[in-house]
Amino acid sequence: MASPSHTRTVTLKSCDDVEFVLDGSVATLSQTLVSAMAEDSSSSDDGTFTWCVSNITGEVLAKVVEFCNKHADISSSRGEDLKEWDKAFISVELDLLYDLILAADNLNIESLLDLTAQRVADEIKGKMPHEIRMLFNIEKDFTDEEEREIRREHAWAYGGESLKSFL
Amino acid sequence: MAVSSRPISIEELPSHLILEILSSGRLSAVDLACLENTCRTFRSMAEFAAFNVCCGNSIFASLPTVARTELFERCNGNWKRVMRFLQCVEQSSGLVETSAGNMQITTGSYHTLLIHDSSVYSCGSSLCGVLSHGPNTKQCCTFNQINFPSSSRVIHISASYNHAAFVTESGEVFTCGDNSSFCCGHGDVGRAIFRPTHVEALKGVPCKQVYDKCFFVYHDVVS
Repeated sequence: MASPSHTRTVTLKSCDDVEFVLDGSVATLSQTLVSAMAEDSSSSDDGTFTWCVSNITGEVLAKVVEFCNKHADISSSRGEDLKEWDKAFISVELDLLYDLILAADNLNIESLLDLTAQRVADEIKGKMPHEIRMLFNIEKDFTDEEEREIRREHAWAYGGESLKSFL
Repeated sequence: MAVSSRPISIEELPSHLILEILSSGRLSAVDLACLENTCRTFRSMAEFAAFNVCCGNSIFASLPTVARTELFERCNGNWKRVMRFLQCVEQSSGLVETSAGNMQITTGSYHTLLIHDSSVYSCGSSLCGVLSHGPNTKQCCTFNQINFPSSSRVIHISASYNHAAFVTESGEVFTCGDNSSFCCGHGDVGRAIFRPTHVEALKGVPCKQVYDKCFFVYHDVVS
């Protein structure tokens, strides 16, 4: 039987072979690691557990580990301070944001998924379609027929200004 | 250098993740419509996300099936419009986020109260102090800011025919107006209250909402 996760250390290995050692209690933020540790009984003797994270680079994994360490530290995980910390943490370039979303999904870290989802939503909020396209590097691939259909369908969403600028 | 496999566009994120973000209730129906108009990938996804949001909405869930179908049809079979309707219903009972700041508005018979960000304003006819501008103000033609004895922000307001109630962020309740039936909640004090006055009886009982009716103030207590 594996020992309880909080008593073990976890070594996370990125796809480019960068290693991070986490306290067992920090690793419990990741449901993926919790499940993997529960299934694993091989390394229960020395109390270490190694997990390779495919598709996540050392650069991104370092951010994820930084997030988990902060959020697992109960003394600092209180109210406004943590909110401020989260805000600074997630102010990253979009490329890194995408990678963090994938990493949070891969490791199933709910609080990191929430934070990244909020950032994406904040970027979209209040923007016009052409602004969203520019920001997220999206190419407009509608046919003329589809555009006409959209114009008809979305007249409701756009009261005051002209429908042309909406598209 | 390791070759990076990271996506270059948001479209390349796994669709279940995008859908989760769009369905989380963090975006408005108009935001979803804007997103839908960017490209084909989002065309179907935004509508499905709006459907998810509606299904998870407590008002929508409480409607009988017939009413849900009718609402959907009245919205031209468009879930984003259903979602906008539900969001409007929710917003009309609380603070509304606008491009000009957070607002809440409520009316009595002859006066109007308005929260705009951290300030509260009133206008109309001051029946027995409902405008909260003191005993000498009988009428305000334009919105005038109300002075509060508390430094905490007002987050909820309620107005009835002849009295008004305010809740601050810290949970304190203030009332003013005609108090002849003791409806302002200041104990034995039966005279009119011309400025927002802290309800001492609710000290230590943090509130989040108040409802003025004709002769009493009802409060919701934060558990």
